[in-house]
Amino acid sequence: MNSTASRDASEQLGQLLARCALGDQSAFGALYEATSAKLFGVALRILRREAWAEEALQEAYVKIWRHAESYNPARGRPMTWMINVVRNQSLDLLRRADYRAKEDEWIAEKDQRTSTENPAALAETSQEMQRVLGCLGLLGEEQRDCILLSYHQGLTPTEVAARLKRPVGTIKTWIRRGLIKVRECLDQ
Amino acid sequence: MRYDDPQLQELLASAYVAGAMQGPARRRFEALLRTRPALRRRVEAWEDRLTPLVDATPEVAPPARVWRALQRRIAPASATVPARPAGFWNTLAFWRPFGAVAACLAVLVTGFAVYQTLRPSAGPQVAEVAPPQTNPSYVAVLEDESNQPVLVVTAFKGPWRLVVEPLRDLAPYQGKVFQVWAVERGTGTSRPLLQVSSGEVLRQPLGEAGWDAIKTSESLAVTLEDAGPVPASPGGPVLFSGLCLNLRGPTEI
Repeated sequence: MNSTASRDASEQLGQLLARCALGDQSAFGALYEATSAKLFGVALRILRREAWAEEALQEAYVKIWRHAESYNPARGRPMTWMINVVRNQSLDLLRRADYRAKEDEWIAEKDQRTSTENPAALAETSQEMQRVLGCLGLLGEEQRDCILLSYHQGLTPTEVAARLKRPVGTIKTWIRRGLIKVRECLDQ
Repeated sequence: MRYDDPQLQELLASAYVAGAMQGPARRRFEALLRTRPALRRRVEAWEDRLTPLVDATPEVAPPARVWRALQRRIAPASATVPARPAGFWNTLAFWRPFGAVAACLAVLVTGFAVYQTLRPSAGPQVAEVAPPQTNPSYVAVLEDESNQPVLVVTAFKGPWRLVVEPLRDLAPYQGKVFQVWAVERGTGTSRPLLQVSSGEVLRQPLGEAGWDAIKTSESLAVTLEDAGPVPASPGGPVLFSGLCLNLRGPTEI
């Protein structure tokens, strides 16, 4: 997507949100049409189970509808705002103990559409993503993995530590220092 | 205050946005976010930095039932025909627009539900000679700023006692507690009732002063305070609040 098209799409979403804030349900329908596949993908990647991702998606859109007026167009892209609404909803769901308790009952193969890294999609990453990945590339491989496992799958430092077979303290330090480095790199 | 330290704010904001916070820490941080615009801005800056990472996340079309459910939920209340069993709290939210009368009815239902839930276990927790009365006298459903119920406080008499049921895990930062206050009718004076620092159901006997505070209260409120001696008045902003209702009607006050 070139940057002009992206700006236009962003402007359109902003207008749809403004109409949602006025209670326009047809605008909400158009907004859902335009964004739900992306947001469902984000929820699915964190939650890895369709039923949970559906629940998170539904709650996220209710929030988007109810708080559409709180989206501040001056702040930035509407998609960034919506993605973070669905991310937070998904992380909240993931952190709820009753969901975690069911972890053992879940069989990965049953959820056919579970998102994984898609090489085709990676090939067409945006400039912004390449920039973030470039900054993450300044970190050590394990340190980068810590941040990406947290970001994409919502793993807690304890879970990352178990996955990478490293002490939790090390993981926390890596994430903390890694994010500071990424900020310095991006804010340059 | 500690949370005004820019370095700490930055550390918390980055961990939050990166998805690296454990559950209780996330909830505490979200409570802080509501009252701290500077922290909110740091979170937004981190969202701007990291969100491009989802650009390569594959799009997946959600099933049509999600949209159908959404349509029912965003339709005006008058047009709502619940086609699936609504959750209990959804029902409460549904009634809210119909005003105080409906809200009171809903709260009565809540009180009854709490009473039903707690009846088998409320007795043995409190030392007494006569069998304790199990009908609640007062109930308050405390909500956060987005009208989500957080805490149900029920007062019983014979003997006087309070039951506090957090609806989510209320674990404050180290050195902090959630202080529950009774806000007096007319004067608005806050009197401390008890402190909550976990998601556990609390059962606590009430003295005469405590019972009096409940009886004369308009509402109950929760603030975040330093652990230690109970403060005489709220030091932090009100995080959760709800009307305190007499379940026996006004004649008994």
